[in-house]
Amino acid sequence: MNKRAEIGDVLQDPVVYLILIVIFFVGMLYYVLQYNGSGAVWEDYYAKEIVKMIDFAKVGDEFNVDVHKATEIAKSNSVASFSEIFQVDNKNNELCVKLSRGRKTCYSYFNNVDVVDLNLKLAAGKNEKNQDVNILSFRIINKQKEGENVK
Amino acid sequence: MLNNRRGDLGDITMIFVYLFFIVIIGVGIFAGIYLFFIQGYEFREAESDVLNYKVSHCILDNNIDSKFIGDFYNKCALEKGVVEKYNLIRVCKNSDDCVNERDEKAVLIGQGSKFQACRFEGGRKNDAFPRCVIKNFVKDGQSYEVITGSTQNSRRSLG
Repeated sequence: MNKRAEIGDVLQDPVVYLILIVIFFVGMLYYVLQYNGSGAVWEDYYAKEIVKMIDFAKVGDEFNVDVHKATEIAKSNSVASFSEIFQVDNKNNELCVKLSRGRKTCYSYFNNVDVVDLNLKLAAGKNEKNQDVNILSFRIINKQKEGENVK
Repeated sequence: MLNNRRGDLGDITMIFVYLFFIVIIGVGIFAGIYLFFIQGYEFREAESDVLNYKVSHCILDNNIDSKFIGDFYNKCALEKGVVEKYNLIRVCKNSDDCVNERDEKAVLIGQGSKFQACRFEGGRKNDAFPRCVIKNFVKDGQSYEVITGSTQNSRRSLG
């Protein structure tokens, strides 16, 4: 009978305002979490941090790095194989991290060494909460000339 | 209610004001987050610091002569190709101002150019400028100044 008044009543209802603000905050939260969990940000982080270790390393050093977060993101982004996540190109002194399908992030290291035995070991370590974590291990050796066998 | 139409209209239009504020705040948050993540993880200063540490220790551990200078990259275990592409290195001996040093004898190692950008404070907020680290030390009574910088950014590609 009095439709205009009904619409007016609905718009004046505080519940409508509350629903709108809830939708707004859920949308914002989704947006922030989507960025935070996106492969690109974490690829950048892991590539640079691992390169820092390589740059600081000396021949003979061995590293075991907790990369559990990276493996979780790669899994959620359907990366085909865990062996694809971390790749080293000793010829070009470059480390690449792939946490999303079809894209990878690379960074170069200036230390004149080779990175060998790069292995991702599942549930090979424990974190401070005593939970199993995935570990990336690698060794630093002298720069090998082309055709030379890795010792 | 029908006798007070103007009052009703005022109350109803408040929803548009409300939506307007939500949109303004939303756009601000979207833009802030986008700009924060698009910048990436700043690593150039840390990289310059590690390079400076390596070069400084290399100078301290070696006899500084023409042979060392000629074989600098091998002696300091640095990959020449990467350094030439992404890094700056300048080592001065007994120099008052290594950044602007014109005396070639005082500059032992020089890789890259535009070292003035390292001193430019305004450049710290500009991504196009290198991030540099400058350190001084004394060895055998001679003062050394080591400037290192990085212009490297991570590269995202298909793969």
